Amino acid sequence: MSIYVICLTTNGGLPILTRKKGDCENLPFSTMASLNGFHMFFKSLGIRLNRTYAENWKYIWKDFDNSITIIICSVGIEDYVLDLLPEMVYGAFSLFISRDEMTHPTFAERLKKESKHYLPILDAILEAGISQFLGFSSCLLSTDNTHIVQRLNNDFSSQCGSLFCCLLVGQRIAAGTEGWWDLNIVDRQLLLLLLQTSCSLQNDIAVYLPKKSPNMAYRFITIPVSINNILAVICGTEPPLKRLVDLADNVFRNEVTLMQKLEKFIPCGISECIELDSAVIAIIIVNTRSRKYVFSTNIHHRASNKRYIGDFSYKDQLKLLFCQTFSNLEFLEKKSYQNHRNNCVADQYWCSDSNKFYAEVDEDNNIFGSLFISSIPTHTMKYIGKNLFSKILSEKTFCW
Amino acid sequence: MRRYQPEYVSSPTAEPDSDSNSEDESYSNSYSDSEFANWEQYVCEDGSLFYVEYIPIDMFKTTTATVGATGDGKVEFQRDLPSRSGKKTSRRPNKEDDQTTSTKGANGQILFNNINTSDDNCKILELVITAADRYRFGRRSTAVESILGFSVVPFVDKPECLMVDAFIHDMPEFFQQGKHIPIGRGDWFKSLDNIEIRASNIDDLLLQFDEPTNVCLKFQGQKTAPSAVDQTKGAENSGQQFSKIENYSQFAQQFEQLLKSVENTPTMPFGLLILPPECYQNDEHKKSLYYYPEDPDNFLYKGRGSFLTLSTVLTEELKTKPLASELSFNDEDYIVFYRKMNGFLVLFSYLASMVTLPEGNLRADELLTYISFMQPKMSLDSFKDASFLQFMNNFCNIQRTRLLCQKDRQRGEFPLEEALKESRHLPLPKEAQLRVFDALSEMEAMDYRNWNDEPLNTHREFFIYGSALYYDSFMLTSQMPLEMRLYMETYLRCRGVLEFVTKHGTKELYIWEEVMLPDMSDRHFLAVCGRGHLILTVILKLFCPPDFDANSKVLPSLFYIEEIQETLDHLLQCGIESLAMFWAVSNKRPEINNCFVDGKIMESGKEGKRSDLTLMRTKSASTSASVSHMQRSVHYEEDTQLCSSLGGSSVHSLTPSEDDSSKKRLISNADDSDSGSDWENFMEENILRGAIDAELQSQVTESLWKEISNVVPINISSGCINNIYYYIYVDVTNCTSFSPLKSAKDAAPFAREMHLAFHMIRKVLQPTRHRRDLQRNQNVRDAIIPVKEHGMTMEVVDKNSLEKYKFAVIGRLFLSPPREVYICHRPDMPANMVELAFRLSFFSSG
Repeated sequence: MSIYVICLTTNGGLPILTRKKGDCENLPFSTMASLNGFHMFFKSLGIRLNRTYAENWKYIWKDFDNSITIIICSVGIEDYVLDLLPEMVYGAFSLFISRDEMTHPTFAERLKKESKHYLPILDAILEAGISQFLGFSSCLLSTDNTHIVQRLNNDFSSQCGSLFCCLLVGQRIAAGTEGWWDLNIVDRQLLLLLLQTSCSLQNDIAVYLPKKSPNMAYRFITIPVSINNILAVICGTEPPLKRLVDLADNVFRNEVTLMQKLEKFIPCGISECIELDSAVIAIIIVNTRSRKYVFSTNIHHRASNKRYIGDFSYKDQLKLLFCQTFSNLEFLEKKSYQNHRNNCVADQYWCSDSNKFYAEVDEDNNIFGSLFISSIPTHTMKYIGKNLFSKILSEKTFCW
Repeated sequence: MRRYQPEYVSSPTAEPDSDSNSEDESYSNSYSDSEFANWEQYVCEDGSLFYVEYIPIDMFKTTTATVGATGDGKVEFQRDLPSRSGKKTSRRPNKEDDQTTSTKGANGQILFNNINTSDDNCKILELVITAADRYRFGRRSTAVESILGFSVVPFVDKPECLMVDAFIHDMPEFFQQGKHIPIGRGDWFKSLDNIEIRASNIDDLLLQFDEPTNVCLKFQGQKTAPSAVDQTKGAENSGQQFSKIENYSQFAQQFEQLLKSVENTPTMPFGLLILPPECYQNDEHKKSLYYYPEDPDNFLYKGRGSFLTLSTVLTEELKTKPLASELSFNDEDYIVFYRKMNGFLVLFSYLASMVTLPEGNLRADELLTYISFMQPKMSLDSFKDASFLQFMNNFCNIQRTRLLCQKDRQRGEFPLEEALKESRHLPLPKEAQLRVFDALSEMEAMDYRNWNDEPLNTHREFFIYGSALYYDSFMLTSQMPLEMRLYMETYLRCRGVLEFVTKHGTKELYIWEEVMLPDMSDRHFLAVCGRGHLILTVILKLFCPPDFDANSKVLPSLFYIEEIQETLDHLLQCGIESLAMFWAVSNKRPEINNCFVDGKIMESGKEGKRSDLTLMRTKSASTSASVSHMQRSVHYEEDTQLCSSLGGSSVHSLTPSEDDSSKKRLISNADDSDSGSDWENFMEENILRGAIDAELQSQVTESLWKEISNVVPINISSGCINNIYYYIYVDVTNCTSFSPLKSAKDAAPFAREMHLAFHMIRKVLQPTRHRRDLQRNQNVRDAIIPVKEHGMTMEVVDKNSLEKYKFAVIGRLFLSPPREVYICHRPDMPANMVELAFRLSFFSSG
């Protein structure tokens, strides 16, 4: 899997930056110029070139605000990730530079100045595009989620006057306010990547939200409440950081045991109260509306233990199969809209030599996918999958 | 083979048959006076021929009942024609019969008043009959039908008198052979051995003949003198009924009109650009390119330089091969497909709302195959050649219309089996197949049989390379090498011939064209003849004597075309077209649930009864047995292929593809390690579990399992409702696909979603087929999981009726032998039944 990102000015074709990730060589300058060249020529003829499929590679061109053209070349990356990548890359610039400044002729200067801020985020985006579920926020399912959400809403969010708060355990979201989940995935992921690339856990950074508020800056504040737990808040100029730290301290001071308990779930992502059948290798639960997911491997399964000693193949397989499931759904949705029909996929399954995968979809936009060993009969797989799904969804304390 | 025909003896009053059918008379003048040879004047300058006489669609509807059926709309399969002689006698009488029927039909009801009762107009026929034949056409046939071979109806104005209504099988030929005045529909059946025939006495009379007896039948014709007047009327009628297309350009121009395309045509549903890189390297060749539509606003033409750069950069600098681009122009989304031919860039564009990426790739491949097949020598000079430009224009017009019609017909989604390059197979019953093979082999043998020459000089000017028979767009039989068949079928598809024949019945279709087969130096010609809905295609190789000028023009060979036409007529007479028509509309082999009433899937009542009936039919028709478990039943037939008595015969060897693959399939079913099926595991597990009760039980179980493994189910149902909605079987080795023919496809309210699902599943399975190639690339290897089976359950809500439909679609890939099976079934179908669905009998035999 490899990705190239090429950013150029839309009008002049001046290169702003190039980035690459994966096992690939640097692109010669002439090739980059050609890639931009025919896109520009097409544009001059009134033709907008969106995407090109080659034997293995996929190329995507996108113009933003008539100022920046982003070209992505990728191999082995799913279509929906590919669609999101230019948005994320442009979003990384927009975190630090307002929309108005971006459309100003001198934006190139401004971009240069801000490069030390957005470059680490760009790298993190590419890394996540290859190894993570870039289009979804990672979550954690614990029986204490309800309790945390209550504390967050009633005690913290209302008192600090921000609708956008969440509690991160490791790099997963344990609980978030409604406003947090309503944020566009581009904004939300960029903020999380900003935190991930930041060298300290406590931050107070002025950022624009590329989708929500491209011209008015907000403060992105992160406060560590225990070793691995961080509270993230988006707010205006008020209240000051000191007050927020105190507030967080007050709210979560008495929850030390809870925090410690949550940290235990960091590796597997899901509470122990859900027992996974031995035939299940890993599961993933995704909500496509609020763009969040939970991924967990079955620690009782012999093969999945390998995951911790450096074998990520199961996660990769699950990721690929989930992406195909999601692509199918998106494709059908698009077709359904075109044909003025209302159709949906209730479940999907895939069988390969090494594994089987079953995915179920419900009316609330949840996709539940589970990776099984290959020897399990298909009907048993469906039965176990369905049962597990209903069991998890009926668990109210998860607050999914 | 048993002959069903009574022994007929010609009347001494009639003159013996003229020698028009005898072999002594040369082939060239035997039909010289017939209108069948008229195509000769339409041969183009280059020696190619494209001539069609067809029945316009509205006319066709009114005549459908008589086309290929025996007058009353009955579909008959004639089993007992001796191949050669039957073939030879077929042509002229058939025509006359057509004419008579059409004339009478036009006159409305036939009255007894019009019968000429004078004795000198009496028609006499002697034949040997026996009452033992009473039930040879089944219990529903009347005594007259089964014993005499024709059916009678009472006259409207005199019900006690009977008139000849229709003939069973080929009997009209017999009735007309050697007679001055042929017996035809509307004749009064006057007497039998001078006993006057009445509606009341006919049955008793016929049943008296316990022993074969020679009897004399007398008929009275109608008052109008049949010969001259009838013929002129027939000619006038045929002039009204049939339209002519004299060459391919005319066909291409009228194609849209012929197929009655959609009214709201999008701006540019289909576009094409052929661009030589020399356009930009040399001013001389600046205009050496072709684009369609010829509109300066064609975006392919406008952006040709960028397309060329894009293709070159990707190929040469990024070392990859461009396949397709998505782009927007004038607020419409398009997909452009990149292909290369002779160093030229060939671009095809489709509206993105009409064609999806995988489907478009298949289409682009098909079109490119056709262009490279027809224009293998395409060069810079070709663009100055008017005939090349004409060829391209015709080609593009036809592709555009094909696309619009197909999309219109399917209301959006294009069925997978129609998009695949694999031929759609319509397997006929074994006996019919044998007859077709017989006829084709006999035709193919004609290439060295020249009656007039010395035995040493037996070669004719052509050697028949192979032949294939089509019914509409379905392949019935092929005796062509696989690759050649694919080229030939691409030709028929891309020329719109298959669509045309499906829509209109052709009266006459003749195509003759030189084709360049890749890797073959000899000159090859494609000859196509069509009649009704049957198309017979033959590839001929020119047999060049040493002194032959290699570049000389080769005109269509009258002899070969007539041979092909005769073979076709013979097949028509045998009832192959009727049978194919019957198979195509029937829900046979394996059956599917196609009963949708008011958009809702029927689950009880009528459907149940229908299903019961079909089940009973299946049971009685084959050596089937049924296993019933409470509410479930699986109907299966013992596979007749393996134990067929035809096993070692020469005919069998002519059908290697089907039989072999069927055998392979059976064998592979027994130990198919790559099938991904749960069946094998299930079987092993159960044998092990059954072993609790000593060895005996395990032996019994094992033999039972083995027995079941050899059983091929043809119908899968829970209770009385068929569980299967649709299936597609793609045999990669033989390059054929098999799916229900005309039944549920359009009827199913969820057909569109089902086809979409088939396309999506195929897209997932394809990389597995090409895994080895892909695995060389580390980047791709990581991104591909070799999926062997993919399934999905879908729910569709009709926004108007708010009806909800649920169905499951599964695609499974088998690697040895390579084949893909797609099944759409009821979602509540039990798992073991789903497994059985993959073992459905996708091949049929007698």
